Amino acid sequence: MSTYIIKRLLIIFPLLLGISIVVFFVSHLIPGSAMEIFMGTQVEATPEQVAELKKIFGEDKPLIVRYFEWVKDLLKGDFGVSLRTSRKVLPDIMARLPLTVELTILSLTLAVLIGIPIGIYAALKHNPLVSLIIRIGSLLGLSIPQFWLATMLILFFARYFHMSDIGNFVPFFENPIGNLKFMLLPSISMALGMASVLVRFTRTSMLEVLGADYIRTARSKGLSEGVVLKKHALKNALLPVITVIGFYAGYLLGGAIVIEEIFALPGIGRLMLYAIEKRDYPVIQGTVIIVALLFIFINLLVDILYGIIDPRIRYE
Amino acid sequence: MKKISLLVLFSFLLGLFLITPLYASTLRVGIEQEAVGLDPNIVTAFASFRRIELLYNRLVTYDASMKVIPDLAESWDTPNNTTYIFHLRKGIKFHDGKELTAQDVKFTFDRILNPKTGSPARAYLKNVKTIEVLDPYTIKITLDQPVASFLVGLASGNCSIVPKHTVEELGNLQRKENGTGPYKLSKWVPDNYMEFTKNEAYFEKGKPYIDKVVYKVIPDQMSMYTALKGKSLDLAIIRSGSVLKLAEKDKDIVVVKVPGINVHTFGYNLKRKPFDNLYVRQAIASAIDREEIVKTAAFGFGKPTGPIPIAASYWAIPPEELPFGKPDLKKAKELLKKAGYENGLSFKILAANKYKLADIAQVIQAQLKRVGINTQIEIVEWGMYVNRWKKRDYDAIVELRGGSPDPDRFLYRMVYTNGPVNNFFFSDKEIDKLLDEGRVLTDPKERKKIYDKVQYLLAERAPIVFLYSPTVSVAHRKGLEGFKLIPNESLLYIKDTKIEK
Amino acid sequence: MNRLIKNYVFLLGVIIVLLYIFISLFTSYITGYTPEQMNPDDMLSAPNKKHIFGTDQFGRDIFTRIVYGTRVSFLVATSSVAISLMTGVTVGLISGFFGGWIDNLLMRVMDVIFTFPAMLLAIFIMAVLGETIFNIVLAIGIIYTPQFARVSRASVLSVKNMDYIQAAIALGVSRFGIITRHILKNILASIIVQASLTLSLAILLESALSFLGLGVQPPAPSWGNMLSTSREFMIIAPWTAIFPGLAIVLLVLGFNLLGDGLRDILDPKLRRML
Repeated sequence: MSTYIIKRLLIIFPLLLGISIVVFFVSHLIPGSAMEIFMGTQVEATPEQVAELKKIFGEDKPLIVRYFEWVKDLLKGDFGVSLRTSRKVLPDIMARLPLTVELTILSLTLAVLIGIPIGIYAALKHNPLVSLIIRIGSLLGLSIPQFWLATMLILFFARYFHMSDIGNFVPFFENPIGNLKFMLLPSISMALGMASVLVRFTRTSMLEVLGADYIRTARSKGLSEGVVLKKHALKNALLPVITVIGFYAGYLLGGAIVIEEIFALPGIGRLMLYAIEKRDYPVIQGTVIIVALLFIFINLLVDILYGIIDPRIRYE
Repeated sequence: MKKISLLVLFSFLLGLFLITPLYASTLRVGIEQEAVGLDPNIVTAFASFRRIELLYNRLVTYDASMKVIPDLAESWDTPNNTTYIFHLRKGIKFHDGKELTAQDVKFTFDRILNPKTGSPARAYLKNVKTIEVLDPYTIKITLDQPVASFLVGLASGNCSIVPKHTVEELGNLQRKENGTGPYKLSKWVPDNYMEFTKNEAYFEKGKPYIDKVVYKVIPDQMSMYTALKGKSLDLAIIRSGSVLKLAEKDKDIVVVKVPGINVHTFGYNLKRKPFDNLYVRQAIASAIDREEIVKTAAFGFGKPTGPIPIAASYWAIPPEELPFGKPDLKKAKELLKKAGYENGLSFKILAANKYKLADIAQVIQAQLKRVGINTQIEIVEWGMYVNRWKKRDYDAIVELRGGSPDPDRFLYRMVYTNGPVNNFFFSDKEIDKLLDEGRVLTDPKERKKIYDKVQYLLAERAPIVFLYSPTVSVAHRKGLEGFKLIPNESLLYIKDTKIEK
Repeated sequence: MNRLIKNYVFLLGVIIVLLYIFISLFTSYITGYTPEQMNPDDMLSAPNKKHIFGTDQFGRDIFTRIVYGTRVSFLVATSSVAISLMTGVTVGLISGFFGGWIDNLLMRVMDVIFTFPAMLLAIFIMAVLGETIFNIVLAIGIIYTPQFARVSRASVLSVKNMDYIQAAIALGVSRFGIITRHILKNILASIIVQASLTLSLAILLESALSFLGLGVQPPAPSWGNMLSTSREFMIIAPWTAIFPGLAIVLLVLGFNLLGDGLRDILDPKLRRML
């Protein structure tokens, strides 16, 4: 197990190297540059001024040189300075990361709380009408775009309750109640799709386990249905569900970009969108690297968790 | 049970704690964008200026009608039309307590003129020949030729006076401020909010009235409105016409509107066909209905304008009094025929998803279709737009042009042959000559004659259709007094605002 | 009883999708307006007899724009899925057939695409390439390639060592030929299912991109960009935000029902895959 973890950790380095190359050159491939956007269309500048600005924005050196300088700093833990705000990139990202993580965790929790019980219920209930409704309902949940759900929630609450906390974000540790009140709508918008996936997955997984030999044996031993369910079926059925959750962490993070934009949440997704818009290369690169790390970490965690719950799995 | 009641008590106390400090002489302002940086001599973004104007002062500034009035300079003399002597107020202190002197003024202007600074204000000062400090409170500036718009340039936010000692210590002022303005920056949580505290040593006695100003970043216009309505904002910069319409109906909200100084334009790359043809340009100008654009794209929140921003009321001639300034489809069709395009023509319009450009493009497309001109709209992301603007890579382009109360400042750079933002390749000897005359004359009446001519000529040669000036607007809750809005959108007069309790 | 339910799901999906196909084919018969026809005297009107879904900020008929938007959605969804399908299956076949380092390389590339949040990837691709319909198709096509590659690769691996294939090879039949023929038949079911589910994902992604302003650009009517512009007006004109959204939900639901139903009919074993 531990060798496996070490092996997985070692893969991170070549992976990060690959990501760093891709993100650096791809973000410079985006037409336009940070300096051009800084200048906009209304600023007069002489050629010598432009040359100076190029130096200020680091655009006077060849791309490849800039790449190595960036990596060199990165290895020292220095993510560089934003071209837009001249603030250090890493502290800025770290200040925003908690929000995105909170949003992800909250929506995941909501999804689990809604999705798994319904999924189990759907598996146990043999009424065809109920299962048809749950099935179509879960497909409907998958079909609603997150951003539209978010818009509808805003519309509904703003129009009919004159209630909108947009733009009044407070960090959780400063004001937990205000924070949760604020995060509720964004989390719901993100949770619905995920919950639908969980309903479907839990149901299938549960049905499969219920049909398995050891459950039949348990039943034939005369154990009560409740015990069978709790002790055996549920545990085994939820195993694959954990993988799904890990698997969809990316889906949630991706969704966070749009949701943060709609609700004006100061999270990492919105930071990234702004950085792309302003061609703020150090920030684009920094956010992508951090998101990638987060991603790798979640996948690793899921694997390890899986191994702990089910030691039968062999790591090769 | 005990646990629960403790929790309730705790959260109650927490709630109290959080609510109380928020009110009592705090003005909460909703603004759509975060500041890019705070160095007054360097920044270009609108969002940065909205902060800088609370933190710094200029030698001269604008009143609410954009007339130049004293700011740090209490008065000035102009012994001849190339010499300015400014007399500074005495005892003005930077926020760190050090006194402002003529040395700081000289330092600031030298800094702006230094190409290494990359200051956009360099264009305002480029005719400066010498800067002499006569005594700690007097500074003399001489120009190499008369520049009628010199003072207007000095009133720009980019010409704010910065402290020599702080710049020398920090290199630039993007992250830290040390100004002379009515407010000091006390807290900055990026992309969330910025908190300003009253500068007790501010030179205007008794001002500012409000102790604390908080700028909250709220990118979404509707959210801005709901926040205002929900009383979590006192004042909000709302540009969206539909949201303004809604706000105007609201009894608890006051909408402040003034015609803005900026101008939406529809211009061409004159090197490309068919725009080299005068009749085509005149036909397009005759097909365009400014009122309709204002009505549909801007929800009525704008005013049709000619070549000089309509808000510069002394100079501006309304478009309908100029050639090709009124929609006339018959004339447009005739002109097209004269140009040899009676069977129609087609080109592309470049726009970006910003500042209403995409909306305007769509209305223009529909209007041109009425006279048989088929257009394709290319709506690109802002960075791409700027990139193509620089390369002049377009047939026709919808733009938002930064205006100025002085016609020279606005027109010279845009339509003079090879002017710095003349990206139309427009060149006209007659207009060049008039613009050259206009910039050295100092008598307003004489100047007016010249710029009247320029306006007629520009309308007739139609290299650009000047469309409309968007209305500048903010909405605030009832009970704010003394707030004034300037056509350049400045929030400077927060310093004169009182909150009625 | 169970089979019947499966058929209900499938049938419902077929009906919805056919409805949209019908709409996209007969746009001009369904509505008397054109999608770009403006009317400044009729801006942001609530749904009424003349405009059953109301009008937008230019006085354009929202129902008409939705109807024409169907074409855009279909165009983007089907062409991008066609790209994913063809590239994915090719990659999967090559990967499974040759194995070794080629397999390793191709699959790692697929992994990278797959693990990266689709939204993020799409934003990047669009930013680099620029916002044209062709580029949206390309971006979505790339993003959903790995699913097809995985399905076809797994299938190659499962039949590669089967006795009769080995026997056929021993008889001198070209290995590549036999596997390709056999496998294509074998994976057809799962590919069809995957394709119809991917169609739904493609529509969702296109609308999200257009919503962010990175997708289909106005004046071309796309449901996503209609929603994007409606954000500004929805508080005074909720219909501008409600109807285009419903159009998306219904079509996506249609593809989902279709895919889900197909999965049961074609291959019950596949049910665990999603």
